[in-house]
Amino acid sequence: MFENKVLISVWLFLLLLTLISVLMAEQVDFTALSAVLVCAIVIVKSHLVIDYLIGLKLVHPRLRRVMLGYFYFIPSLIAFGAVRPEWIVSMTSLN
Amino acid sequence: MKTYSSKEIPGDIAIWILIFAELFEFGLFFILYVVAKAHNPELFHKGPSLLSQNAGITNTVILLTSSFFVAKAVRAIKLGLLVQSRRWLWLTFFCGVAYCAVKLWEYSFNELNGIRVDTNLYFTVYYYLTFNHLLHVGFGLAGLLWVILRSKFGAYSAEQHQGLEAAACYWHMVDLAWIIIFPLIYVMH
Repeated sequence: MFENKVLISVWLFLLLLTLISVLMAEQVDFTALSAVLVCAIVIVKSHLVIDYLIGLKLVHPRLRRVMLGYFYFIPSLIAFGAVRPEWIVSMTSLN
Repeated sequence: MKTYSSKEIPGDIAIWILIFAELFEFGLFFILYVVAKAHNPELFHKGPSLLSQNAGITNTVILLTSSFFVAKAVRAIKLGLLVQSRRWLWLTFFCGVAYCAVKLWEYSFNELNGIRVDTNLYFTVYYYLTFNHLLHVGFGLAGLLWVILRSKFGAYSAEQHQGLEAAACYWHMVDLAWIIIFPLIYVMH
């Protein structure tokens, strides 16, 4: 029963986070800070799916760490690209 | 201190090798997106406004809901509720079909608005990412259908449900990839 309530709460919270992302997309002035917030939402959503929907929270800690590592790294990279695009350009230009 | 109830891998090791291979592939696409956006800020600023946001939002809701359904299916089989588990699997399957229908509608909407894979770099990245993801939804659907059929023939029980859990894990991976794709394509303009 408790596990069922957790699953429903997680699902509703994921939908709420999606709604927040959508509202941020409606902003006329989408700043680098908005991008960082959207990436933070991605991390929270991934964390919830990994821990509760896949159920890795209390099972196989190493697998959980690798999964979380990926879903912390990629959104952080995207956020970095939004905050410092010139750095990405300089790192990926031949001249 | 956190106590772990088990060190057993959900599903089996083979499915996790496949999941990490798929995530690696998606990771390369995400890095490609970051680099392409940094070099072409104007295209990536205008691009999202030309797409159907409603299609993106609908598909996000569908996939998150399907992930919830498949988690319920796994929970039901662990409790030995075979019929209930199969019902949740069917619901997951229908969500996947709905996702494909919305995505195909979105592609035809794009076509009507003159948006193609070669329109500009933003749309090339958009089609690479979303079509690749659509293919993975297709693989996930095939896996779900296989598991549903096996479940009908009594292949799974409360004690033995590795295959079902493996298909569920793959489906969660499809959802996780979309959790990153959605803001990249539709939100971050």
